[in-house]
Parts: sequence; C-alpha cells; structure tokens
Amino acid sequence: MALTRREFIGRMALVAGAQFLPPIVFRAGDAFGQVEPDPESANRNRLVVIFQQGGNDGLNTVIPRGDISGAPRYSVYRKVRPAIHYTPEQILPLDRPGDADQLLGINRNMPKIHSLYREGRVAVVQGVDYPNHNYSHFESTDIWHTGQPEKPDAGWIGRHLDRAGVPLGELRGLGIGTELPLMLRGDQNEGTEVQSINQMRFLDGTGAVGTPRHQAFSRFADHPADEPLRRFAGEQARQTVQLVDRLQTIGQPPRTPNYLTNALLTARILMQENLGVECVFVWHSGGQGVGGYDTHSAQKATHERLLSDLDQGIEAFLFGTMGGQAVAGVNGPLPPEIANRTLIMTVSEFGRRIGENGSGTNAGTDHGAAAPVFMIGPPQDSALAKVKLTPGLHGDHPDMGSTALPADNLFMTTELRRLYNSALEWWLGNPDPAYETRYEPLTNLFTHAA
Amino acid sequence: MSAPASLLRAADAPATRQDVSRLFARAAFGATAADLDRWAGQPYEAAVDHLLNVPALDSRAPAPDDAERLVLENDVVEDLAGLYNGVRHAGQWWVERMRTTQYPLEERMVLFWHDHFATAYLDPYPDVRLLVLQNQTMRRHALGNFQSMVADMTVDPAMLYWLNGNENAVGKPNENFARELFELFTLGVVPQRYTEQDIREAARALTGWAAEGATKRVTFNANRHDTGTKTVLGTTFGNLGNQEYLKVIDIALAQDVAPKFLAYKLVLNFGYFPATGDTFQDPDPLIDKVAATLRGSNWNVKDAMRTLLLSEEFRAADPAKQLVRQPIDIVASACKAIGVSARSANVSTLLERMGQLPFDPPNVGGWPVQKEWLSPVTTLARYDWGVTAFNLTTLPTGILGSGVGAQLPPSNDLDAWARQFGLAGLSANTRAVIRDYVAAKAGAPENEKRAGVLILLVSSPDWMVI
Repeated sequence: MALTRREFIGRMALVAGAQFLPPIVFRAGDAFGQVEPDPESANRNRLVVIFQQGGNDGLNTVIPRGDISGAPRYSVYRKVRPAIHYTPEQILPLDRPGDADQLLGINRNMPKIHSLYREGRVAVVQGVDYPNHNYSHFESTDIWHTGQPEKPDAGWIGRHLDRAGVPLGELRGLGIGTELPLMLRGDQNEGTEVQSINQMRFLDGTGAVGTPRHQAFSRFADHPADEPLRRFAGEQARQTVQLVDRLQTIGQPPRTPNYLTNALLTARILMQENLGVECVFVWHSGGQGVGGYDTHSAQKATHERLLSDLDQGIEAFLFGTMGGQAVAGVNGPLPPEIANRTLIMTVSEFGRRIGENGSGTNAGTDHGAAAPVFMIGPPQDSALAKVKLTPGLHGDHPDMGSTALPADNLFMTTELRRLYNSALEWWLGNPDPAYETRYEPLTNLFTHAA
Repeated sequence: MSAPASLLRAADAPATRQDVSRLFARAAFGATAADLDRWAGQPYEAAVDHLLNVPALDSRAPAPDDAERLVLENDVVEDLAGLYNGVRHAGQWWVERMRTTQYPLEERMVLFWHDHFATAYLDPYPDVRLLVLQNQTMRRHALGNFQSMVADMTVDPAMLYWLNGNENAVGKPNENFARELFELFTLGVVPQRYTEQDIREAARALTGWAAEGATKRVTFNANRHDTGTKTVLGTTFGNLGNQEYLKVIDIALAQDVAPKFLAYKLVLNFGYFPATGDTFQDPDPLIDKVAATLRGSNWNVKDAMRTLLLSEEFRAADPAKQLVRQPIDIVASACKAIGVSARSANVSTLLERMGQLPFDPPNVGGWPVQKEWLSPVTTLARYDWGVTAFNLTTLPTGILGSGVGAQLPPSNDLDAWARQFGLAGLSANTRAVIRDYVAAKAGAPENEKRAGVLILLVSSPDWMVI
C-alpha cells in the first residue's frame, strides 16, 4: 500500500550507498558561474504548476449556471448549497462556441482567467481524479504530486527530470518555497528549491569575514557516506553556497500582500535568467494566519479571496499587472520568448463535497473527490510553441444526480494520469513509459501547430 | 532489521560520553558540559531515569513563567492587538522554557505533541492565548496518559476552532476533526484502517461541543448533539450525550493498530526513521516493544518512552539511522549550549525563516521530518540563524565580546567547543573543516575566529543530524 510523502523521503535517507544527490548547479571545483546551461534550454517549453493546497472547491470554481437536458446541475447545486451558491448572473459564463450549451461558468473572482478563456488561451479539464479516491489531504496530495495512485513515491515531474536529465548549470526543475515538493523529486534527479531571491544571501556578506566561512561551510559536503544524512546535510551546504553565488547578482521581485504573486514573480525572474528553468512548482495556500483551500467552514469569503489571489497571481506573472494595475517593480508582461512557450496548470489534492455542511456564513464543505484543472497556454497566435493548447471545456462534468436525489460527491470523468501524460508527451515532449498504452494523452487537449 | 549484536549493550552498562550526548540531544535539547561529566560512567539506565523523573505538572509549584499565568496576565501575548506578534512572543516564551527547564524531556514531549496534534493560530481564532493554553494541557499530559490526552485535545478550545468542532452540529456534521482523529492522531491512514462511513458516524458522535463566548469556554450543548444511533469501526452505540466523544476515543484506541501507530510516531521522533513506515508490513522490533508497553500500561507515555530510550535499538547509534534535528530543537539546544536567552536571540523571527515558528505548523499534519528539512533554503536559513542570533553579522565580535562570550572557548580548542555543545567529540570532517578555517584566518582577530567556529559548529552536519 501507499507510502506517504514523509515516509518516502525518510526512507530515501536510509538507502545508504544509493545516494540521492541534489542536482549540483555547478560542479565542485568549477569556478562559480563558469558553467552555462545548454543553449538549447532556451527553446524548451516551460510548465508552471500551481498547487491549490487544501482541496479546492471545484464546484464553486467551475459553476453550473443552468440545467441542461438530463443534467439538472443548477437546480441540484442551488438545492444543496443554500448558503454558498452563486446565482447565474454572478457567474462568468464559459461561452465559447462548443462550450456555451453546457451552461457552465467560472467564479466571478477570476475575471482575468475568464478574459484569457475568451481569448482562447484557457482549457478547463473537468472531473479530474484517480480511481479509488483517497480523502486524506496527505495521501491525495502525494498522489497528485506523483500521478501514481498505487505507489506515490516519485513526482511526475521528478521522473521527467530522471528521463530528461538535469544538465550541469541548470535549474531545470524549480520549486518556490522552503521545502522541495514531491512533484519535483524523481528517483535519480530532483529540482531545486528557492524561497525568495533576496533571502538567498548569506547575512555575513561576501567580504573577508564571510567568504572564508562560506568556503569552509561548503566543505561539509565531504562528510563520509557512512553517515548518509550528515553527508546529505553537507551536500546541501555546498549546494547552498553555489546557489547563493549564482543568485546574488539577480534582482528581486516586489513584495505584494498576495503570496502567490510573490512566488510567481520570483519564478518569473528566475525563468528570465539563463538558468535553464523548465518546470516550476508553486504552492498556493493562505497567508499568515489564514487557512488555505481546506474550507470546512465559513467557506465563501476565504474561497473568494483565494480565487482572486490565484487570478491576480497569474495576471501578475503573465502581464505584470494585478486587477489591471501595474505592479510596481515589475517590468511589464512576461517576455514573449518565454510567454509563448509557457503553460500554466492549476491542480489541487481534491475537490469538495457537493452539499454544504453548515448554515449561513458558517457553511463550508468537507473533503470531496474530482475537480476541474485549468490550463493556461500561450496566445493563439504564438509562433513559438510547436504545440497548441485547445481552449475550452475538456472531459465531462461529473454527474450531480437529481433534485430528488442529489449526488453526494463528484466522481472522476477524466483520469489524472491521462492529463499528466498529455502534458508530458505533448508539452514537454517526454512521455512517461509507465503511462504508455493505459493512459493515453487526452484526445485533442493539444494539437500540432499549423 | 535489528542492530548489529556488537553494538548492543545492557541498560545497566556504564554510559559513554557518546551515549550521554546522544540521549540528551534527542530527549533533552542537548547535554550541558555538566551533564556529560555527571552521567558518563554512570549506569545508562540512571541517566534515562533522571530525564524521566518529572513530577506531575500540577504537583509542582508554578513557575514564574507558567503558561496559564502568562496568558491571564497577558504577558506572553503582550501584543494582542497584533495577533501575529502575539504568536512570536509566545514562541520565544516557549523556546526559552525549553532552554531553561529543569525537566527538558517534558518540554521535548510537548514539542512532540504540538507536532502530533498540530494546531496553528488562525485569524481570529484560535488565537495565541488558546494555543498557549493548549500547550499547557499538552504539558500536563506530556509523559502521562495518551488516552486522557486525546480526550482533552478533542474538546480543547483551540482544537475546536482549528478542526471545526465548533461547527459540528446535528444535521450539519463537519467531518474535519473526526477524519484527523483517525488519520493523524490515533490510527494512521495507510493501509485504510477505517472507512469514510466511520468518519461520518464519528463526526455525528462528536457533535455538540463548542468553545464559545468571550472566554472561549468549552461547553456541551445537548441541542446541537446528534442523539441517533451510530456505528463506528464496527461498534454500535446509542446516545451517550457528553460522554460520547470518550466512547469514540475508546473505540479508536482499542484498535490493534493504535498502539503501533503512536509507537511509530515516538520512534520516528526520538529513535530513527522506521523503514517500515506506518504500514508495519515489515517487523520493527522497537515499534513492537514500545507498542506493547503502551498497550500493557494502558497508554502510559512515560513507560513507553522508558522502553524506547533504554532499548538496544536506541542505544545502538547506527550511523545509518540518524535523525535530522528540527529547527526548534536546533535553536533551543544552541541557546542552551551557549547560555543565551531565547529572547535575546530573537528566535521567532529566525525560526519563521527556518520554517518552524511555534504555534504555526504548516497544516494539521505537522512539520516536515528528516530530509524534508534539508534544502538550500533551510540550510541557508540555519546558517544565517547562527549569524543573526549571536549578532555576528558584520562586527566579528557580537556576543563574543560580552560576558557570555567570555565563557566560550578559544578558537583553537575544538575539544572544548565540542564539550560546550554537549558533544562527545567532533566528526573527522567537521573537525578538519573548522580547524582549517581557523588556520587560514591565522592573522585575524581572535573573536572573528571564534565567531567563525561558533557559526560553523551550529550549522555543521554534527549539529544538524544527531
């Protein structure tokens, strides 16, 4: 049965001899900064994964606006959510040709994503989940990180890094935060975690006092391998010294009250540097003293703020604006040579139950199952991306039952592994052999550029 | 897999300095030099029993900084207007208590329980006052009875806010606490040891409790309690009113896996990372022993810790079974070793950057473990912590020019530095790194060199991994 994330990581530490090395940005002994990434890395497609931590309420993200033949979705929705529903006119319609007859829409706190949808840059993949859904935050998070429900021990992007390699001098997999996420941990390779650029500095500076200390600090990497964890701690010291050296000349993004914006702007700066950044992972949860998407109670206000932060974070990353206002210190839109190769994907460990669990402003929702995934691609007229994202709704909306007998939960209509393999095969050009034949890429989610 | 026979020693064999250093590092925020001298050569068992000899909290004279008093007098939360500052004050209060307590194992257990029943402040509730009171409840049960602890946590005011017990009412059950009661607090999630239906039924049984009013007093409101029949983990019961939560806990803790699950958590925190995880597919003799003690003693935590700390497996000191220290432990231990107050070392700001601000765990699953603490981000934060805490940022003197610094060894006496930090010695590489640093700085002022030694020591593999 499944290992949890923490068991996996702890277990790795026990495998003496099978050293799980961090990707060394620069080879020990190389003068700092002498190793440049493979020039080809500039031509790669980029993938940015935003993880909505806590279980995003998919039904108040992509929302029914009406009933359609055989599926009285809005009537059911209205009935089981007396306190936290939206009325049809409050919902931003998903009204592209081919989608309009579904009578679905997205939350009013996501106006930028809605306008990108209308421009043909957004795919909404419905009902994504895996069989035998696990309702535990921790188990289900591991499964979404790995795309391996039976054995969630290595991240789906980490395994991509295993197959693709992490060339010297590259931050091919980049996490923003304090702790490298499982998604970026493979069996042999892994990504690198950076919290914020301005914190990647030694506080004792780079002068005659600090530098000799840092050189000594780096030598902790020579700790003998018979104490594998101490050796690993030492290797982190060397990695840190090298990373600090590489990053200390790079400017930092402004700090905004929106934590997701800050993380995405940090990623954006590093993507614009010649560091070979290809896959980025960012958590989205609450902020100081504010819970994340695990909205068991008093859901509406929290969820609205989170979706607004998500919308504005993505807006800041792509355009340098939030709510249409320029963010001071950000230099306009993401440059086209990157924007035209970048795909953003939002995922969460699960959706939430159809019915609300309380009453009035206290109402929330308990842990559920399937939920929609947003994918935001380059502009339709991008000449750089050799692969195009097909905008609009993909997959079926999960069954919600009838007003007489509402469903309790939303179940899978799209297999998570097919979604991941779509991104791997089409966007990153590196299909996962473990997914072959059983988990074919989703039909028509991507197409070849004309 | 048991430890090699050659590494095993009897509990009554004399403790080596290595034994004492390791025992105190894991169970007592590190040995002082005096601890090393006192217990080395004594029976190992005597050192363990010394740590375990903690009189019940309520039988002791209240310390001047006892949690409840501080909360009442608003001392610990002097900045209640700014909730976040209150959390930071509380964090510094607690780390200082870890550093100075006469009963370090008790405080180390409270840290374990804070991670196990991980509750974070939220705006507006639970606020730091409720969390400090919860912290005191955990201290009351720290080495006591686990069943009583689970019962008190179930109706703890901070917990009622944190996992939505307050919203759990008849007709509108909220599953949040019930799920974590099984998954995180008593049984573990893998393999599936309970069903979704068990969670729903347990949530109904727990309805009616809420922390309310200006004082957040916990009350049972019979009108909000679901009086119907419930079936939890195969046991069916009718309405038991305000005793029903105890019934649910009885049922959970009667499961065969329950003592193994807590034993696994204890071994993971104080012993080593068990290769079998919490699936228990492979036998782990230490988990089995600790679980047997928990079951046999009817959930006595002190007995379980005694079994663990005296075990051959704990004492074997297998280099492949080391533990990564968590930041709070690193900070409390370093402040203790050097003799600086956690308040003067401004630990909350620094702990926040290291990713472990007390009273603010990232989620109900608690903090990371083992390698999850070792990334460039946290490595840099720990290095910078040493620089900042001891005020060594630019001036090379910092605390070394103070009275505290006068007590610290010269830069070229690494044996004395190891002793200062409660270590039986330094590993060969760490010793070589620091020795070469001092040699390379031959012409520098002595206090600059001592500052370098101090920073390198508190960020060394020897200090991070025990």
